[in-house]
Order: sequence, then C-alpha cells, then structure tokens
Amino acid sequence: MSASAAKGAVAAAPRPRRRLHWTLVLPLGWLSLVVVLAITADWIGLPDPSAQELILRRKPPSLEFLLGTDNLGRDMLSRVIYGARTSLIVGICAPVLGFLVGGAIGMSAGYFRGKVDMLAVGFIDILLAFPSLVLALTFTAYLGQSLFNVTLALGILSIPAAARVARANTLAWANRDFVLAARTIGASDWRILTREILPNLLPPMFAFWLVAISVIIVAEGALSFLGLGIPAPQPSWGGMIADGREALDVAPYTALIPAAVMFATVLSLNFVGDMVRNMVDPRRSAL
Amino acid sequence: MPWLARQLVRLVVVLFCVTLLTYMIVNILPGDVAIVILGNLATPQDIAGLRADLGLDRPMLVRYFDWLGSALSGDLGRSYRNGEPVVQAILDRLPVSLQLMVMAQVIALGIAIPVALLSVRRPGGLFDRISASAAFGFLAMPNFMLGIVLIYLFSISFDLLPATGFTPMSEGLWDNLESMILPSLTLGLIEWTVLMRVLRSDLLTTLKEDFILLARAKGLPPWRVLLQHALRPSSFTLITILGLNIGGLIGGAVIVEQIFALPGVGRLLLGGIFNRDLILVQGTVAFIAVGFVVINFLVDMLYAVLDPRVRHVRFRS
Amino acid sequence: MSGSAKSPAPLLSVRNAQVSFSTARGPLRAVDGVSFDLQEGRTLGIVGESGSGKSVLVRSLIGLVGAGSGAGVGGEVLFEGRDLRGLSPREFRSILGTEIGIVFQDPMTSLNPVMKIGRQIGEGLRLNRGLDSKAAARRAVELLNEVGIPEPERRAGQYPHEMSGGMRQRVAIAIAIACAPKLLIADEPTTALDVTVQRQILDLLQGEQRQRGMAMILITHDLGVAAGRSDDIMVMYAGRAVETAATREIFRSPRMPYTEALLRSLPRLSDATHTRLSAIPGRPPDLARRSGGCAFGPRCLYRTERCDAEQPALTRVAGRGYACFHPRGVESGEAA
Repeated sequence: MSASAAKGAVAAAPRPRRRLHWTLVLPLGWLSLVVVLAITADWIGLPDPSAQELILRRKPPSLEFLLGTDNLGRDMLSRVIYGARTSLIVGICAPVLGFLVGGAIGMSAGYFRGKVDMLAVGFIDILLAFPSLVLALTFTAYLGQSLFNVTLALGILSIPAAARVARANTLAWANRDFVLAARTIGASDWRILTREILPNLLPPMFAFWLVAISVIIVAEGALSFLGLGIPAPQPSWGGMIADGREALDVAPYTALIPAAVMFATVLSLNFVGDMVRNMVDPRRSAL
Repeated sequence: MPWLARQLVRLVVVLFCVTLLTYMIVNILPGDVAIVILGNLATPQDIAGLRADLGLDRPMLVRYFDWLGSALSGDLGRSYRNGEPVVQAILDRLPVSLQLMVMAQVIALGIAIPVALLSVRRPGGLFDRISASAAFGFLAMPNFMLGIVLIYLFSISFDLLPATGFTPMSEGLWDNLESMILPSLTLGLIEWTVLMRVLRSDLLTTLKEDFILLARAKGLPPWRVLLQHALRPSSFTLITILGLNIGGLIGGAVIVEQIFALPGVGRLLLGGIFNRDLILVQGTVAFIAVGFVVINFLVDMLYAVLDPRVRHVRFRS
Repeated sequence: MSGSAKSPAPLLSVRNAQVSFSTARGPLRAVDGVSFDLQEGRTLGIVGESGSGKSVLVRSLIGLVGAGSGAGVGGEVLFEGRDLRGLSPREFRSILGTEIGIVFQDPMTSLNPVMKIGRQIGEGLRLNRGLDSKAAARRAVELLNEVGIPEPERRAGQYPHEMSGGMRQRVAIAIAIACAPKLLIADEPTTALDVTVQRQILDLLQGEQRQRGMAMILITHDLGVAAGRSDDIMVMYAGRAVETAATREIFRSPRMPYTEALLRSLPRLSDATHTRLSAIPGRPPDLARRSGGCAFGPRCLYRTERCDAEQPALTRVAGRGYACFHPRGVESGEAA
C-alpha cells in the first residue's frame, strides 16, 4: 500500500493487519474469471451471441450449449460472457466519470468552503433529490439508448456520492497542519490540492470506486431489465433476465442463470470492496 | 431567521430547481414531440405548424414557467396517448404505489428491528454472525433478480401466490394482500439489511453509554433495558436511513410494479416513456421528484421532533 | 475497619475480589485480590488515582463490569450474608434494584437523555417496589423535593439536558435512593461538577445517608473529599488495597508511603504563599506488565531491594491494614 494509505490506516483505530482470509479466495477467483472471460471473449471461439436458431430455443444446459439457449435460440454461455463485458465496461467507466467530476466538486467544496461549498452542496442536493432510477430512466429515454449514454447517465448519477466522499475527506485533511505549513511557504492552492490533499483522497476514493462498480452494475442491470438500458440485441445480464421472465414456467434457467451470475458477481464485488474498505477506512465497512 | 423558516426556504428552492431540471431533461429534443404525434411521414411544414400550435417554438424557460404555473394550479396537462389528465392518471395509481412502499417498509422494519435486537444481545455470537452474513447476501441482490426468484419459487414452483396482477382492496382484502405480498417482499427483503445494520451499530454504541449502566444498576431485566432505554436513542439514525431510502424505494417500486404488473405510478411512468408521451412523463417525474423532496423534508422535521435535544438546541438559536 | 471486635455481621463483605481483562498484551489485572467489610450505616471511602481499579472494583461487585469484554471476575461478595455471585440473574437483579443504589460520576451521561426525569426516577419504583405509575410519579416528585430541587412537579417532566450539572446529579441521587436501598455507592459523584456545587452534593449524600441509615461507599481520587465524609478509608493502588484504616487514623499517621505522599500533595490554605505543590514523581504502573515487586516501588522514596523483589501482602494490625515492608510511623520491630 502507498504511504498515504498506510497513514490513513494508522490514523484510524489500531487494527491487526488482516492476512488474506481464505474467504477472499472465492470472490476474487470468481471476479478474475469473469474479467478474464469478458476480455478474451472474442478469442475463445464463442458462438455469436446474437445468432438466433429458433429451432434450438430454450434448450437446457447440455454439452453443446453449456448454459443452454434462450428464447430465441441464442447460446446462453456466450451471451452471459458478452453481457459480462457490457456490465464491466459500464460498471468500471461510469464511476470514473463520477469521481472525476464529483471528486473535483467535492475537493473544491471542502477546500475553499464558503460560497463554493454552498453551491456544491446545493448542486449535490438537487441531483440527490431525484430517486436515482427515475433520473437514469429519464436520461436514457431522452438521450437515446446506447452503451455510451447508459455509461454517461450512470456516471452522472454517481457524481453526488463521489462529491460527498471527496468533500468529507477534503474537509478532514484541509485543516491539518501540513496544509497550513504548505500555505505559509507560499504554495498555490492548486499545488496544495494536487500535491497534499489529492494523494490522501485516493484511498477512500478507491474504496468508493469499488463499491460504486457493483452499484452501477446493478443499476445498469435494472435499466436493461426495464428495456431502457443497453439496446437489444447487445447482450446484458439485465436484459437477459427480462427475456427469461416470459419463460419462467417452461425454461426457468433462461432467467435464473444470468440472475445467478449477476448475483455472484455483485456479491463478490461487495465482499472484496468491503475488505478493501476495512483496510483503508475501518469505520465504514460492514463486515 | 428562525430555523424552521430557513428550512422551508431551502425546500422551496430545491423544489424549484428539481422541477426545472425535470422539464429540461424531458424537453431536450423538442422536435421529437411533433414527429411523435404526426408520425414519420409528416412534412416539415406540418411539423413546424404543430410546433407553433403547441408553443414549442418559444424559449424553454418561458415554456417551463407556463407549465409550472399550470402545475401549481393542479393541471399537469393531458397525456398524448389517451388525452387523460395527467394529474388524474397519477392520483388513480398513487394508492397502489403507496400501498406497495408502505408494505415494503413494514416488512423491512418487521425483520430489521427484531434481528438487530437479537443480534445485540450477544454481539459476535452465532445469531449475530449469521444475521450479518444474511444481510450481506440479501443486500447484494438486485431487486429485479429477487423478484424473478420469488415468482419462480412462490408462483411457479409452489403455486402459492399470483405472479402478476393486482386486486384492489374494494374487491377483497385478502385478494388484495395476496397480490401485494410478493412485490412487497421483493422490496422489503432487501431493505431490511440496511436498516438492521444501522440499528445494530447504533444499539451497540448506545449500550456502552453510562445511562445503560445505570438502568442495569436499577435491576432492570436485559430486555427492558434494550427496549426502554437503548432502542429509542438508537433509532435516530434508523429514521434518517428510512427517509434516505425512500428514493431507492421509489426506484424499486418502478421495477417491481413492472415485474408484477401492478397499476402504480412507476408503471405509468414507464408506459409514458415507452410511448414517448412527453407530457405524461414530465408530469409524472416532476410529481415523483417533488414527492420525494417533501418526504425527505418531513423526515428531517420528524427527526427534530423525536430527539428533544435537537429540538431545543435548534429552536433556541 | 471498625475497631470493635463484637460488631454485628457486616452488610457487605468482599473477599479477594479479582477482575482481569484479556487484552492484546496479555491479561490485565485491574483488581487483584481486594477484601473489605462494610457495616450498616457506615461510610467507606475508597481512594486512589485513575487506574487504581477503584471504579472497576465496585462495578464488578454489582455485576456491571462491561459485558462481553472478556472480563474475568473472581472472589466472594456477600451482601447481608448472601453471595451475590451465586445468585440467579433474576434474584441478583432484584437485590440490586431494591437494596443497592448507585450514583455515577457524570450525570450528563448517566441519565437517559431522551427519557423524562420523573419517569427515570419512577422506573425502579414501578419495577422493584410494585408501585403503579401514578404512585410512582407522585413519589418521584417527593424525591425530587427531598434532594433539594425546586419546582419538582415541573422538573419531573423535563429532560436531563434542561438542567444544570448539579441538578442532574441530584436527580441521579434521587434515582439511587428511590427504592430505599441499604447500600449507596457513589462513584466519583462530584468529579464532573463545579467546585461550588461539589460540597452541596456531598452534603446531600451525607444527609440522605444519615437520614435513611444507609451504608455508603464513596469512591474518589480526592483525599480531601474522603476526609470529611467517610468513617473508614481504603487506599487502592494498581488494583490492590494498600492501606485501610479509620479516616482519623489515616490522616493522623498514614502507614503506606503512598498515602503519606498523597496527603503531602494536598495543598493547604495554611501553607505559605508560593509553596511548591509536591507531586508524586512517576506514573501509575501499566497493569498489563506486572513486575514481581511492590507496584508502588518505582515511585517510592523509601524503596529497598526487598520492595523490588517481593510484593508486600496486606498486613492487618490493630484494626488497620497496610501493604508495605517499610510502613511509616511504625517501629521497625513491627514491620511486616
């Protein structure tokens, strides 16, 4: 861990350093599998996820189709893997937007206080005044559905949370003596922000990012489930679950398999995210 | 300025910004509206004519204030699709959504409070660890996934409850509850986790306080100490979280209403979006957002009422 | 200890009380073999620095040592002849509620901030003495009056934060005496209060005690407070009782060098101006790391090699007790 992360850990209550618990192996393993498959999807000889073979619809898992086929005869394994790719792209990139913009807002608010703070907090409050799903729906409905727009919409949604984390942490750090010291030697605000405060913000922002990934993946799933996320025929876990819903009575696996995969991924992400939070900011972790 | 007045001013400002933002997002592509109504084969003149008729060529702010003015007098326009007044459509469906959310919260609290109390009796004990793991697991479930699973289990596998459809209370309380149980469970089974954790954490903190020691020193039995002395001071964060969660609950309601085909406001909104019914969407989103802001405001006030310390400090200033 | 040999059975009898916590650095013996008796109607002052174990001792006696903190509790506690530790939880709670009253140090934290005062006083009455809520409320107002709070009816409907510190402590006392206990325990009752109020509270405590014939344990770090208010004093250091005697005798001729040093460090009005305050050099020992010798040794002016090697046991002579190899004011022939 970097020196500042270690500093952060020491500043919190003294806690015995946890070794990598065996329980971390499972979630990390699953996540690695998902990531690797998502990245190498094009090269491992998967059948085309959009290839429909209506004769072969709703087949249960077999040797030929490892996870069965969906309503339109498409290979589920392939769709699940390509769906992973979609979820991961959105899940990883959206929070980046969130904390670039939100982080900047939060840092300015926490550092400059006064009117800037008031404006920032007001802006955050307004964004938070919408139930998030409703806001996301409205975005994608009127900006158009595409991978980019979904990422953008969810990124905007994560701005308030990121801003809050950044602001809280900046407030905590900006009053420390070393910042005061930097000011007295005439360092400019920009320099202080980037050299002194930003490095100390990185650990909590990283923890936030990990948590945000799983939240965004679920949000994208919800949007796609409702038909307002990733447009068909591009596979997405949420969309697959929605498709499978019609066949719940005859072929439940078409819905339950992507559901299980999504659940496992989110659970693993939460687990790992929580472990990281434990190391960085023990007060807020759940386990 | 007294505290209450300041809060009200803040409320009004937020409401204003929220409705403005709603209007702006929905009206980003004004051209669409005319095309939607007239169809793809409309000529440019027809489109321009309709736009002028509908006042779509005026600047957005002007249109916004127009709309706001009507909204404040109770008129949110008429839906494109069926001409029904938006306000009426919303009010017809509001009871369903409200019933869903209330039942979900009741279920969530009904699980969270006892579980938290039992966990805290022996922190770190078996029940505590099991409930913490269960909470973690349920929290990771996306609500649409849980909904599907519940349908699969209760409707399809065991045929206990209806998968979709809504029976209003006027047609029988039991039937109504039957149609609402799965949807409420879907939301409640995820909600309880956050509530339980927060309450448990607060309880543990409170139990370390001296006045708990004094309560024990009075010879009070442990359950009485928990319920009469520890619970109330620990419930403040719970109430705040309840309030904060309403946003998620509303979003969840949209999904759940869709899955279970409940005629609620969420489903109305989705229908409006799919039908490109601009006015309906505008009105519905504004309604939801305003409702959410007002509820949060009320929760803040409730907090002040419940915690006498807050009340006295605040009102004195 | 009371001097008379034919005294009746003590109200409270503690034998070899032990409390140890398991910490990351090993077991920490907060209380290490303390014994004392307390007669009805008498006051025992337990004096010691912070960390001496005085609060932990008393809390362990009434079963209030922090739950689940891995505390190991040992020894016998006989109240009116019954061993408290051997009772079922319910029986124990019943005795605790009706026979023992406790006043804690900081009334801001020891009173429930979101419960009305009247209800907090009446709670014990309703539960332990079976009063109905009306009777309990009436009695609560009477008690508020008794402890010297003006406008008791109005105050009964208030919350703790609406009162001053002194008033809150009076309320705490009212709660403690509500069920007419036989033993009143006051754990640093005045430490969190203004000096001007301290005396009033101590007077109140003493007044209530005399009026109701209660025995009292007064815990304090301030020897001056213990001086006028207790019949006997037990001085604790590092979890052990290092000196016990009637108050008069402790002040006249302390035996433990620690007690002597404590007395010396009390500033007196009769001192000349600019007299240096004499403090005891060094700091209280780390209870997790126990050396073999006397715990006070490193700070003692009279320490010898024997003090470092052996731990002195509490010697009881003529109604007094001291744990020292070189007690003050004693001919060397009588030394332990």
